[in-house]
Amino acid sequence: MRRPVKHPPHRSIGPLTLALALAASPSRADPDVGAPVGAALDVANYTLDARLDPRRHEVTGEGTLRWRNTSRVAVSDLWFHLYLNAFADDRSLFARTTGGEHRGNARGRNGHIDLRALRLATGEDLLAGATNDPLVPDDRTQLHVALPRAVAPGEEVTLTMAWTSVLPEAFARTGYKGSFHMVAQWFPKVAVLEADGTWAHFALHGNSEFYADFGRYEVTLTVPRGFTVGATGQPVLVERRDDGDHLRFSASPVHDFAFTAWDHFRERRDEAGDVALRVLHPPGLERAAAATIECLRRAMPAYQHRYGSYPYPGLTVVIPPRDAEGAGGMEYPTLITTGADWYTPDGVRDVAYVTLHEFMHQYFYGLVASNENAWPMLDEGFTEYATAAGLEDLYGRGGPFVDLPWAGLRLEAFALEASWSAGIRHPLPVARGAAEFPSFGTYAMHVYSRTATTLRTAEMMVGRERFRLALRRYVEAWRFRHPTPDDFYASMRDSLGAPVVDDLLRPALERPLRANYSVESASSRPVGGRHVGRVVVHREGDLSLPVDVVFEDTRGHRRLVHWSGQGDQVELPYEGAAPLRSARVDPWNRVPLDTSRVDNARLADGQPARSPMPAVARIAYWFGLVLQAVGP
Amino acid sequence: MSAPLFHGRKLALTALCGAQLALAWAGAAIVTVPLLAPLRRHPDGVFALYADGGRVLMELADTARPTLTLALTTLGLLAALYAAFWMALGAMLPVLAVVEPAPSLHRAASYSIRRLPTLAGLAAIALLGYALAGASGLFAWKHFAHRAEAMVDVRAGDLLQARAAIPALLLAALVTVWHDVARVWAAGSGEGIRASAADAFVVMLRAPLQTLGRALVYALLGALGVVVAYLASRVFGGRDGAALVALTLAQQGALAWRFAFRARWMMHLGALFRARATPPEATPTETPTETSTEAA
Repeated sequence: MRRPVKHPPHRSIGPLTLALALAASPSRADPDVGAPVGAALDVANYTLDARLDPRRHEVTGEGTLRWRNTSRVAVSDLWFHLYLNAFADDRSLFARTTGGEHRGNARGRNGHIDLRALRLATGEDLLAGATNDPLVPDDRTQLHVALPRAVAPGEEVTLTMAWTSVLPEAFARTGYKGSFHMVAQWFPKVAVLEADGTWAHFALHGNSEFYADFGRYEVTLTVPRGFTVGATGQPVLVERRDDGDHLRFSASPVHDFAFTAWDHFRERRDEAGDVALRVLHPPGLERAAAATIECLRRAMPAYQHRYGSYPYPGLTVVIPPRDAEGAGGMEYPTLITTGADWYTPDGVRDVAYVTLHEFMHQYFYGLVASNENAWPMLDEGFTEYATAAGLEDLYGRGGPFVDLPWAGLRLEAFALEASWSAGIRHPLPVARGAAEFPSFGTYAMHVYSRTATTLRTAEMMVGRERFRLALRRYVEAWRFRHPTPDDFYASMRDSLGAPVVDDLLRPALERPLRANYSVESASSRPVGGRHVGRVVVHREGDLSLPVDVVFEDTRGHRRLVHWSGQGDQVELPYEGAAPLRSARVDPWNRVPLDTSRVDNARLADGQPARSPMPAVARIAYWFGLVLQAVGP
Repeated sequence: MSAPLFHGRKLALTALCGAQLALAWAGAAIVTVPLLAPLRRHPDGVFALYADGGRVLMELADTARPTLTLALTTLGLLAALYAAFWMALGAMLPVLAVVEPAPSLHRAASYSIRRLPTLAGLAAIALLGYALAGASGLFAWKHFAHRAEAMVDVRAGDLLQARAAIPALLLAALVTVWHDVARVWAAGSGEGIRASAADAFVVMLRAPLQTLGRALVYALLGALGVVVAYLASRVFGGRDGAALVALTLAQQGALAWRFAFRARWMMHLGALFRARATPPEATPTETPTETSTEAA
């Protein structure tokens, strides 16, 4: 156990600052990362040397890539991703599929990557014959290079490269605003070679994120003096020279490297268990930084209990400045970007939500490194579920995202997910590629909300602890590996049994599914001093899950009936000492996938309708205030 | 509340306050009842809105958009009617404040309607004042936007912009006070737009404490009710029957409290008018204003 170290706030990088950083976050040369058998931790190993020019918003880099063929077949070519070219012009696939806008942020100055050299370590030039993917015209986010000789299974090849990254104005997770720089997707990244020898390469689509292999990153950054730097991994060396600060970061095993640099960052440090926390934020957002720390300090132990250990010694959280929000809300290994305002009331937990979400990505895609382009539900959907579960851990049932008692408003994260999932007008299978969703809105409703709601439904059906244990087993089995949906189903089948997978998870994620339970009618009549009647419960859609039905009589007595969910509807008999007052199907909301909750409960025929006056009374107050403001 | 100010006027003021509260309830009902119709047969009624983490609330918000559009259209019509009502009866409070002995509600209303042209003119000037305040506020906001954007500290930048808009808010408050004074003077003197408007300016200049100072005090006292209602909402929550009753009583009480201080402010202006209209040595009698107005 390390000795806790308290750190004073400070602004810029200097010898003292970095000495403290090193003291707080010792590098782990041979980290025990809990990798399962079969995990490949050193497939793509980069040694990079880069210089940031904050005036030109450019990064000039050179370095080596040591890549190992982990497939079963020899390969004689390599695929690279040049993601920054997504912002090169209006013809890239990304530009065409986003229309110049990404998650509400408009594109400003373009950016691109200029790959100046790519050679084998033995000297052969690979760039001369390199081509973009001819199947995606006008898009330069992929590069195919032929190797002069095949690389056998298990064999390594080393390449040298040199490039210049021209950053776009902060947009779609990367870029600059003023002197703030979020440098991501900035260097040539080798694609993933799957076990069967197939390259998992793709043009960057507006809905898509990334996919890469694990490896060791040794990155030296040079930035002007006065800039505070946050980056993937841990700083292991610092030198202050005439041409700026030189910082070397080491990270392993990770599958990406990003960094931020700004001469106005404020910094806050703390610890969550064994993990050093560092929040870099703009001046004025001290409250949000404190909330971020508080959230992580409380949540990280719980998350490690749920999903296994967080294998890195540190986590850096970057809150981008205003107008650079396009760089926010993204995850990289050991570095996440969030977003915050200074005026958000305490009952609105947007900082906690985005912080937990991006931190959860350290597991889903960070550690469980599924292909984000091919199966985004495995990272975004699982992360969304885990975020709501985290809010539930921190703030109580359902994970209240908005909790304003004075306004009578409580919106829980799981309820929000269920509502967005229910709002899907034309359902599509969720387990599909990011590019197969026609719009980002459709993508988000399916990949984030439908997946999270499906997992929540499974949790409610099998029980919280059992489900979470099953999910932990899945995470532990697939740390530092590349699972597919089938791997997930197999893991859950082992943990929870076949029915949960075959009757719920697989159909809900792989079919355009709808489900709605409703009480169609409820009535009773007196017969011989007793009251008898019937309740008709209807099920619409393809999902047939068992549900409870509760009868309540006029004296307040309740009786529970179970329905297997088989068939379109069921007629349930009622008999009691008092007239039937109401019937409710799924009263405890164990099927959040149910598209409508309004029709899940119904007063029996003959029972007086409920008055809307309680709601009128609350609204009348606000109307009254308005009338007084403008009245005589 | 001191008795002399409200003497003989309590019934009329209570009726006015009741009308205002009733109108708020009517507006709320127009919006709320059709929206919540799907919950009439739900065993929890509207309290289902607070169940399931807001799931039912969000479902209704999603499915009831056409109903909401209709309800808001209706509400818009009601607002237009209210504006006409406000214009026509805008001098009800000033008349009740300034006329001695206290007129009946009916007489105050008929007087107010007869003074419609003057009141409309004063309202138009007030609206111009508000527009000016709004424009100056917007100008100041935009003027400081560049400076705020250049500031690295976003909070400081936002507060700088907000502070820049404070003069506009003060101007709007001044317009409100002036409008109140002008209406009381119009009701009391029976004079036209120009004279009433000018008189109001003069009074505000000569007796700033009696006008601006008092306006501030009564506004703050009235706002106390809103604070209490806010605290009540935090205590009661209003998510079940008994708590909702308590909260409703607190909120409606807050509205009545605010109205009472608004009325008291008007009564104060009425007393101020009478004091200025009557020489100090003379015995106050029934003011001639109503007679002269009717003659006019």
